[in-house]
Amino acid sequence: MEAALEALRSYGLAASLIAPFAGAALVALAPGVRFAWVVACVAAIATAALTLAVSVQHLFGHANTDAAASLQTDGASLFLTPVLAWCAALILIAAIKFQQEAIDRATPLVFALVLATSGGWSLALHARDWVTLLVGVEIGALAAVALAALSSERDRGGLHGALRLFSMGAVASALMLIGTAMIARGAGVDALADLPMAFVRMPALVAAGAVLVVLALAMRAALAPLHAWGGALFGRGGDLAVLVVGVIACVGAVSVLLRIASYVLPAPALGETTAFTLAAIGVASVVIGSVQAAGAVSVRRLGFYAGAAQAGCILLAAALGSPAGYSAALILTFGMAVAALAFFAGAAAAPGERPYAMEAIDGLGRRAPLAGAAMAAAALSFMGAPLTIGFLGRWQLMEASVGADWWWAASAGIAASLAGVFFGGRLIERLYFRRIVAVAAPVGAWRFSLGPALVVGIVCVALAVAPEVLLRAAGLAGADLAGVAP
Amino acid sequence: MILHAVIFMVGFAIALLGAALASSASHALKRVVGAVIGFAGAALVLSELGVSEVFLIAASAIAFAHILFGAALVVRLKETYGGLDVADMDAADRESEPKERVS
Amino acid sequence: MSAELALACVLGAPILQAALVMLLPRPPGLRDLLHMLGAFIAAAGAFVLVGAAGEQSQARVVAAHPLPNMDLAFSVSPLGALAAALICGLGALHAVHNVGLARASGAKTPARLMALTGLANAGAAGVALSDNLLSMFIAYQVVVMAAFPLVALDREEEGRAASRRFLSTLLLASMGLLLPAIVWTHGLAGAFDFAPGGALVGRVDSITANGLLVLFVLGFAGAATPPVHGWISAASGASYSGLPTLYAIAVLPSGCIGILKVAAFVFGPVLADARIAALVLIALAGVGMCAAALVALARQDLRERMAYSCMAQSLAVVTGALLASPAGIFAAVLQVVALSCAAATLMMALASVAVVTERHSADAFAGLGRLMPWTFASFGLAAASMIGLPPFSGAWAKLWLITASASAGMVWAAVLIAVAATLTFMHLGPLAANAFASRAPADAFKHPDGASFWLVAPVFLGALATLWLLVMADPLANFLSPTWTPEP
Repeated sequence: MEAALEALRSYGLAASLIAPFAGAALVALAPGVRFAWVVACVAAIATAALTLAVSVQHLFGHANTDAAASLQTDGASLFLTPVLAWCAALILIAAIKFQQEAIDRATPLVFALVLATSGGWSLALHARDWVTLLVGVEIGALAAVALAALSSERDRGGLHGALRLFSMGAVASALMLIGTAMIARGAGVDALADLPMAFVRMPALVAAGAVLVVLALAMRAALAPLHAWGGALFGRGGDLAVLVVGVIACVGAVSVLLRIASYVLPAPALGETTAFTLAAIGVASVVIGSVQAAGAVSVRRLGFYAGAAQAGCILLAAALGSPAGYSAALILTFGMAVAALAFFAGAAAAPGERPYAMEAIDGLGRRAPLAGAAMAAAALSFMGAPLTIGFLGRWQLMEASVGADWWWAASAGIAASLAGVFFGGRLIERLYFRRIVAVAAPVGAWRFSLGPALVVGIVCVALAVAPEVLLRAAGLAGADLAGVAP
Repeated sequence: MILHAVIFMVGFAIALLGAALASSASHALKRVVGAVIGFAGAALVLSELGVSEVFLIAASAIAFAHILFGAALVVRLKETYGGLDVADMDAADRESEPKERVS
Repeated sequence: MSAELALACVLGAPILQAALVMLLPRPPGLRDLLHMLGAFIAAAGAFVLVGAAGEQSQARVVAAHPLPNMDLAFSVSPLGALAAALICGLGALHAVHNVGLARASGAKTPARLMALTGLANAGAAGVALSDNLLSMFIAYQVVVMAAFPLVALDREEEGRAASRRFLSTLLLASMGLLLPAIVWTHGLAGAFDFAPGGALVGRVDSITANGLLVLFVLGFAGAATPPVHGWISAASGASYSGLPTLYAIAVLPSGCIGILKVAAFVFGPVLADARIAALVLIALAGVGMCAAALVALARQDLRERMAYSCMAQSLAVVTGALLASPAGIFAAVLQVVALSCAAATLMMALASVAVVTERHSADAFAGLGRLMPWTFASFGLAAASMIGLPPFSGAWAKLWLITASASAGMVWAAVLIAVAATLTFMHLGPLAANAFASRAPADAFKHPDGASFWLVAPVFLGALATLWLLVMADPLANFLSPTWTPEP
């Protein structure tokens, strides 16, 4: 037992980052779709279990052993990597349901891309220096583009969505390359952790670089108004692509943004500009995302816009730069991931030829009670209803904002909840109080593979009933991000 | 010193030009070309800033991967939509877009 | 039964009942039995709580820990126990009536109705028994979320539009006004806890107190204070079986009880510092009371008439709660009791008449009292209480309200209450009188056997309940005295 713990301490982090890529390679080479799916699921679950073990050991056991020179743990990586990894595992378990409808030679590659997306963002979350971070982000982002293109068998609109995702990704990459180079050059340090203590020779250059990096990641995280790329993909993309981009890619980008903010905000001469940029994008995203969600005509776009509003709240919390702010941002990010998982997995159960249309979910609560319950739970969380994880996160945000006299940030959180009343109420009404209009296609037993994602989504949204462990973990991680000893 | 600043600004302007083209061009191929221009501008900025070799190699790999993905996407779009005009794709998608029932 | 167990029964039995009814919608006999059993267990628990509160029990149940240093907790207090007994007692009568109504009308979705009324009642009892502000907020959200489907139940598009309006009014007010008020209070008091004598005492200046009072009173849109009263008309088209839950047992009373608890346990003497806001709100409530009674007079559809009549009564509660005196709080509590008993009786009676005779408008009621004497006798008693005729509950409540207003130097408020009572007489009095005075219509019954025992008994028992304040006013004043007496 002691030896196993020691091994975990020494190699756990590296193993958890290698596992998804090794798994992806095996899956891509595996003969047969179902075999590939089994291998992918095993790799994803092993990765998720490893990341969770490493995080628990580091956060609660205060272990502090890094496995490789280019890797580093901090509050954001320890708290959020297990979230991404478990979401990826649940999505992969459900992936066989989507691919049953269009099995071809590329199907194993699709499974491999899910692993690569999750692995890429996890790598970025553990990067010690800018180059590793860039590589991680690009792996995650390009894998998502490929996945969007390959998951468009049922509707060519998905391919159009992939083009939009690619275009945005290219712009974001160019901006991020320039931004990171400006920070590295201006501050004279390559490692992220050295930034707060660095002697910044060219503050203007570094501040501009930080703004570019924030903008680039905000584009990838679909923060409004930089989220125009999402309309096509979330309107007509494949179910699996929507799940992976909505849950892993967007949440991954927000997580990396949060992590970078925690290094840039305390740096001399950078904090103010970065905090202002984060807060401005945060408020814009809350307002625009909420308004768009209220007027959405496609169910998945509604989830996408609601996610943008939630991501705006995360940025507001991060902009505070305090332990309470980071803790709130981490809880909000967790809430965003699980609500998006429950929402998009539930939406994937919608029947009919146009499952993305609003009508497709009419009466879904009766036809597919678990999917309906998952969507309702997600909607309640997005609107910040009490006893949901969304409420817990918004409450933390409000407490942290009021503590810092940022009343306007607390007001933005309340505004998001108010807008949530419109789209959440509308969604619940459709789920439970409308007649079923969409014609259900014959479905096989593989539809049950969606079950774990739905159940976990509902349970995690309801975690707010007894959130002690979650709050303790977020508190420790938030203190670590703020550079305060817990 | 001034020359460095000019090269930096030119590189940055090229990158922004490429970004604008990549995000708003009306033709899918032009978007990929925009991405190429954007990366070229970024490369100019990077070389001017004197970043490390590892950084430059990583940036080149990222740019190359994007161009590869872009080219593959363009081919797939041409096969699927029969054209590369983004407005036409939007129109084709809009034709089968779900209409919200008045309620 | 221990007080803790009784608390668990009051809050848990209706929720368990709701789950079981949804899981076992057939056979109808079992479904009905479960529905009534859940309601009766809750009522029994609530009456045990009244006894426990009389003995100054400190019973407390923690359901969850949703925030650091904050429990989702419920505890026994005299005001809470009385309100819970009222809600659960009337809920039990309504459960019996629901069973009769489902059988007589051949309702399409009786299981869902029973589940939703159970959940709404549990939420309302939760508001009454809440131990702190956040628990009250959460319980209030449960009431709203459980009640909004009742507005759309068994209706088509217009029902959905009405339910959206209902939900948006109540949720927007609670999220946009009540929640900020709670956050603000937490910021000032450092905790969410209620404190007899007022949690804000010594912690707020006059401007803050005024702002907070407006946020709290308008945030509890369930009490229908103008301008957040839009849900009253939106919900008036709901099915008859849902009306008592909306106007008499859960939504309207929970808004009133919420304001009462805030006035007593959050503000206390600080209400005197919020005099400007209190005056404006009392004026708003007084004018709204008269306007609602006038609108009720103009309505022929009995559901709409009753909805506005209930709004007029609930605004009297708001007036009493804001008078910043123990007499005002006591008057407001009496008014909640009177409103709930009378409104539940009237709504159930209307439902019985509608299902048996298919008559829905005021002019069609003439002579029906001769054919349905028990139902209309009960209707008459409840109407008399609603108007404020002695010796029914409403009379004592109005008397205390008028006295408390005059003692507080607000004679104009007392006049407004009296005017509203007169207008209530005008829209309810002739209706009850005509039912007995006119000639009985031929072929009134669409159901050959008339109203069944299940439809008559709860209405009659509800009417008897309007009489109980006649003998209970003094003991009740002693029982409730800890509500306005600060803890030593």
